[in-house]
Order: sequence, then C-alpha cells, then structure tokens
Amino acid sequence: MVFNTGAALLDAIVLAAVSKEAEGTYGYKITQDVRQALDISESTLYPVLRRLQKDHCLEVYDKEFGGRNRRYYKITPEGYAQLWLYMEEWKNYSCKISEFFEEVKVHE
Amino acid sequence: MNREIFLKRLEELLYDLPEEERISALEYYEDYFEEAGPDMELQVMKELGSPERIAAIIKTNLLREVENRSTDGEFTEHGYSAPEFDEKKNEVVLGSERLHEQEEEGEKKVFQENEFQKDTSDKGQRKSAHYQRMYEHPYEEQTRKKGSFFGNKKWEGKDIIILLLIIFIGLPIVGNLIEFVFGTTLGLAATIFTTILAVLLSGFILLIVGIGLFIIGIIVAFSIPITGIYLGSAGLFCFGIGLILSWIIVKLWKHFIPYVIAFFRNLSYRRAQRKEK
Repeated sequence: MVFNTGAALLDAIVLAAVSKEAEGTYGYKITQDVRQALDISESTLYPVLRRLQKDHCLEVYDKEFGGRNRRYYKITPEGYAQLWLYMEEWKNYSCKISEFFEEVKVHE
Repeated sequence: MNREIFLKRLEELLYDLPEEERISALEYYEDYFEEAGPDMELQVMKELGSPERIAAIIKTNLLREVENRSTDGEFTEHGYSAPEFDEKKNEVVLGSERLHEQEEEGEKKVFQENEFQKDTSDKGQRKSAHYQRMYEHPYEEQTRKKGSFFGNKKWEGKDIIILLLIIFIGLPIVGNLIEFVFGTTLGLAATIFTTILAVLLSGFILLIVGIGLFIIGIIVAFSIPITGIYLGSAGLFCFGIGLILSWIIVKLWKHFIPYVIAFFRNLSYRRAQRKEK
C-alpha cells in the first residue's frame, strides 16, 4: 500500500462499510469488508470502531448467533451526518488532486 | 503462542485501562478469533502482531481520542442515540462493582462480629448482644432480660463498682490483644516492604556509590597516586555493577507489573465468583 490512510479517512470508510447494512454488521465482517478496498492491518480496526461508538456515530447491540453473542455495530443519524460530511470532503479533495495530476505533461 | 495465551497476555497488558474499555477490547478480539474460525487462528495472530502491539495501538488511540475532542457542536447533540445500550453495559460493570462493595461490607460486618466473639470479657459479650438486638430489631421494643445490665434497674453503688472493674480489667485485655495483632502484622509488613525496597534500590545505590568512590579516587590521586587509582577503579567497578543491576530491575519491573496487577485482580474476581455461587 503506497498511500497511508489518515484517521478521518478511515473513520469515513468504516462508517460507509457499516452503513451498507440496514441492521448493522459485526466487527469481523466490517474488517473483511474494509480490507477489500484498503490494504490495512486488522489491528487498526478496533480502535476506530470504539472511537466511532463513543462519538455516537455507531451504536452497538448484541445478537445471538451460533450459541454465542455477537456484537453488532449500526450507524446512527449522527453517524450518517458525519459520513455525508466526509463524502463531500473526499469529493473535493480527490477532485482537486485528480485535476492536479491531469496537468502533468510528459516531456519528451 | 495460541489464542488463549494471546488473549490472556492482552488482558494483562490492558491493566491500566478502565474496566469498561478493557472488557470491550477483549470481547472484540475474542469474537474476532471466533468469527475467523479455529483454522484461521494462526493467520489472525500473525496479522494482529503481538499482544503488546495490540495493547499499544488501543492505548495510543484512546489517548488520541481524548486529545481530538474538537467535535463540532452539532454532532454532540443526541438525536436518537441509544444510551440504553451503553448503560446496559455500564450496569453490568456497576453490578460487579456493587458486588465488590457488598462483599467488602459483608466482610467488615463479619470481622466486627468476630471481634466481639473473641472478646471474652463480660462487657464485650453483653455489648455485642445489645448491639445485635438493636441492629436486627431496630423497631421492636427492647425486651429486657431480668437483671439486664442496661435495663430499667436503678443504678446502685455496687453496679458502678462492677462496671468500673469490667472497664479496668476487660479493656486492657482487649487492648493488648488488638495491640499484639496490629503490632505483629505491621512489623511483618514493614520488614517485607523494606527488604523489597532495599533490593530495588540496591542497583541505584551502587550507581551513586560508584560515582562517589570515583570522584574521591581522583581527589586522593593528587596526593597518593596509588590509593587514588585504587579508589577510582573501585568506583568504576561499583558503577558498572550498579548499572547492570538497575537495568535488570527496571526491565523486570516493566515486565512483571502487569502480571502482578492481573494476579490481584484475578483474586478479587475469583472471590466475587465464589460469592455469586
């Protein structure tokens, strides 16, 4: 992985991953999901989830599965608001950089 | 290393986190291993790295979160947030804390009752019976035994004498007993504590002694070269040993403090578990 993912971007990606499911998903699935798009270490996901939960962007609930309790994360309205903000910011940011790259000319 | 050892070590390393945080993190990683399945266990551990690494990541992120509390005002308003989920978790933690408190109070009560039982003097027993009656039946009328000491009987001369005798004989006995118990425990504790302290400090003391000797050696060398050289080299030697000892002590301290704290915590958890049963 060439570009490192900043904290805000990671928050945004995790929020997006969780928001894909109406009823939320559990930690392991979120990690696998995110790792399909980004090459990040599995050890970085928990602090992000924990932080988002404490900032009330995600809420947790337990649901039984296969005889044990699984912890599900679900996005909250605040989480959605934050996600939209991030997505807007990303659009601006990535567009500016893309435009910048397009101005690169190959010099013979 | 297997999953149990990994998780156990992680639990020890998170000793300085608040209980809620520690439990949350451990449950997350336990679940993670569960989801991955037993055949992915080694793979997951390779990806996660060492328990030390996970613990460090968790702790740095918690610190950072505290610093980055520059949240926009609008997002701190609680629209639909589900505090009941958080509170439920809090209740579980509080429950066990309450259990601890109850347990401590229960033990205190037992100790007090035992104290009265140990006390063989008349005064103690009657007082204990009296207090127990008061405690257990606070709203019932005090049934007065015939000839009860604190009853309605009029205070006569000989009663005062008997009371005085009990005080002057009973109290010293009790006092001596308490003094003995306290004295020995305190003495023992002090011995253990100072021994440990001495061992810990030995490394650092040697360092200082070494430096001191070296300096003295140089000063003396100006008058008596040989003695000076001797003292100086002795100083360097002490300094070297002091360095090694200090380094070992610091390393051991950092490594073992998590175990020690986890040990004491396990003790109180086990007591709580036994009480629950």
